Formats: sequence, C-alpha cells, structure tokens
Amino acid sequence: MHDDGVAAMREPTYLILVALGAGERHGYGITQDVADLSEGAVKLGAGTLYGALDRLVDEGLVTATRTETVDGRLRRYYALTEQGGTAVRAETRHRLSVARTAAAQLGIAGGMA
Amino acid sequence: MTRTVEQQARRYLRIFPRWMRAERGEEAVGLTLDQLSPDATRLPAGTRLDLIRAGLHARRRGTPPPSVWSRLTYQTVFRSDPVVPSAWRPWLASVITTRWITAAYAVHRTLPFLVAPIMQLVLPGTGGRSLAAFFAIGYVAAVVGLWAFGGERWRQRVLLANGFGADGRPLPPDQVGRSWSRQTMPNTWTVPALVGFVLAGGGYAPVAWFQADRVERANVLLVATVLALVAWGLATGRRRLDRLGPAPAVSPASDGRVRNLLSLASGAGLGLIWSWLVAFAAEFIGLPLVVVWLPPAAALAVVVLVRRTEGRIGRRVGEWDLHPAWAPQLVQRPVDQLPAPPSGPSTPALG
Repeated sequence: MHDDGVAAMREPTYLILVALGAGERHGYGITQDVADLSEGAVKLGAGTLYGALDRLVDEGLVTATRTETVDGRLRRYYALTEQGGTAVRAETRHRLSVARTAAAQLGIAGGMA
Repeated sequence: MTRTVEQQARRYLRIFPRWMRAERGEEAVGLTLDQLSPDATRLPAGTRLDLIRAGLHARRRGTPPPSVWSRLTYQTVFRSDPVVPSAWRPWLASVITTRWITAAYAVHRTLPFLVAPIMQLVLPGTGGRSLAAFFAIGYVAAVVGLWAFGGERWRQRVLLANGFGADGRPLPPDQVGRSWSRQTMPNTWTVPALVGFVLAGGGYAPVAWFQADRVERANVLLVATVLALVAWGLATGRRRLDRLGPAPAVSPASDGRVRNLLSLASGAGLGLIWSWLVAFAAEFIGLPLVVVWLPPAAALAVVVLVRRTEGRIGRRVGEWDLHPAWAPQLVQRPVDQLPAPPSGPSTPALG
C-alpha cells in the first residue's frame, strides 16, 4: 500500500493498465503493448494475461467493451474504467516520485524532469 | 501451425476452473495461437508453464473460503436452496450447471439416511448386515427418486435464487427482485410416491414391531399432540388450497408410466426407511403403534385434499401448495404483495 492509500500494483498489472490507457485493446494488442512498454522484459502469456484481466474486471478497473471474430478466433476488447484510470494514474505518479528521488540520490546525470 | 497445437492449448486450459474457461477460454486459445509462429507444431515449454501456473492460480482464487462451503453444505442438506455471496455466484452457477451435480445433490441431501445402515453395521446388536442391506436398498431408491424427480428443479431453484436463469446466464436486474423460487410437484408422480410411502411405511413397521414383541402402552399425550399438529396442518393447508384459482402458474410435467413406477419405488424406499427408524426408536422410547401410522395417514389425507381441490379448480395442484413459502406465485394476489425475497448481503443485486 502506498502512502496515498493506493494499493501497490505488480508489474504486469501496471503495464496492462498502462496499455489500456491508450484506448481499448484486445488480448493480443495488450501483450504487444506490454512488450513494447517494458522493452521486451515482460512477455505476457495467455494464462497470465487472462488471469490478470479476470481479476481486474472483478475489481472494476477494466471492462470488456465488445467482441469480434477474426479468422475464426474470438477477440474481446477491454478498456479502462474510470476507477481503473484513476488507479493507474496514481500508480504512475508514485513510480515517478520514487524514480525522481532515486535519480537524485544516485547522482544520475541530468536526473529526471 | 497444425491443429495439434490448438488441441494442446485446449488441453492445458482444462487446468483453469470451468467458469473461467466458459468466460475466457476461447480468447485464451486464440491469443495462445496468435503468439506462436505459423510453423509451430507444439506448444513451447514456456507457454505450457504459463498456462499451468495461471490455471492453478485461478483455481485457488476462484475457490470459495470455508465459510461459503459450510453454508452450501448446511443449506443443501437441510432443505433450503443455497445462496452464496455475489462474489461467488459465477462459481456457483458454473458448478450448478454441470451435468452430474443433480446426482451429487441427491446423495448429499439424503446423507442423513445413511446413518441408520451404518449404525447397523457398526453397533453390535442393532440388526446386522441383512437389515443394513435392506436399508441400503431403500436408500438407493430414495437417491434415485430424488435425483430423477427433484434434481432438475433443485438446479433451477438454486440458479434462480442466485440471480441466474435456467441456462446459467445472469437474469436481467429487473427480474431478479421479483423472482421467487417455486417448487412444483404435480400429482402425476406425487400420488404414486405417496401410495408407495403409505404401503411400505404403514405396512412394514407394525409387522416388524409385532414380530419383535415390543408393543407397549400408548402414550396418550404424545398421540394427542401429534394428532393435533396434523389436524392443524391439514386445516391450514385446506384454507390455502381453497384460495387457489384456476389459472395455471406452470405447465404440468408430462405423465409417464416409467416415471410413475419410479415414483412408487422411491416413495416406498423412503417409507421403509422412515418406518424402520420409528420402529428402531420405539425400542428405546416406547412410541405407541399409532404414531407409526400417522405420517402415512396424514399423507393420504393430503392426497384427498389436493384431489378435491384439483376437481374444484380443474387443474393439477402440488402438495407444496399447502405451504405459503413454497408456492407463493399460485395465490391470486398482486405481485407487490408476494413475500419479500431474502434480504441482506446474499440477495441478488437489483441494479
């Protein structure tokens, strides 16, 4: 739990929410965005992604918006809810704050803006 | 990519709980295949591990805590339909809609009847194996009867009580608050079941009792109390039946000789179990002979009452109509005067 009362997020959860922050995505789109955001460090498998999505839907942070069938495969699109947007922005602010402090403490040239 | 890969993915998805497969299984298969190269012939080890790990995690997350299990167990055995907190309703719906759950229900609800044959085997001097086998036959008949004639109705009642339709899909919010689980037991099979109960229950116990030479002096007060309760129940039921109108609330079940025969057999099985229990208890507390006959006699009186009502209103009536909580929809009165559904955190959400 952060100081501002927001629950800490695990990395895959945070990256999924950030990916959805750019607009609705289907499962494959989310995995691609997460891989890009993490510079290839986080590669979500189907099990991990849908386990996380199921939990995020239950928590009211994400909602399913529509489905379509492409090449015989079902694709469901997901989007952030208002609560999900608030949560991911709070988490991002917290991470930025930690990164700024860390950059200053470590004397990283240029620090962070 | 071969079809084998898709089959592998579907096989690994079985690790996930049923409710989650129903909700997201096709998506997960699609994504798994999207992530593979076109010439893949088998699932990579990393993908398999991911599915196993996530499936086990989902099972752990989707399993209700002991408090929910204990509530389900208690409510299922003691004749009310289980209602679980809203968080566990998708899980409950997925479990209730499985094929063999009604058989499990029949076994579960009749578990108390297993006490007698087990006691026969365990306790010395209480009858031995032959009587235990006799009881086991009655128990199996009761289980089969409950499974065949009560299982599907129980499934639909539980789904409705938890805010789902008969197909396991959530009901529209405006229907949940007004829905009321209703048991129907058309006389197409209750009459043969009751006849079986009367014949077996009323016939076996006195014979066994006389043979055991254990008839004792009648307890007048006990008999009078039981008789008064039966008379009060019948009078109350008759007043209720008098208020029924001719409009059918549900379509009656279809007639069938096999169904009637099975009803007769299951009723006889229950009657045998009951009568033996009374005879067994009488050895210790001296119940009078007339008490043995009271339930079958009351059952016959109920049949007569129901038959008369059916003749008056021109449609079938279930014995459950005798009690207001069992069949409120059959009473001719406005919807807003129906008994309120259960309240509190277990009530399905209204919006």
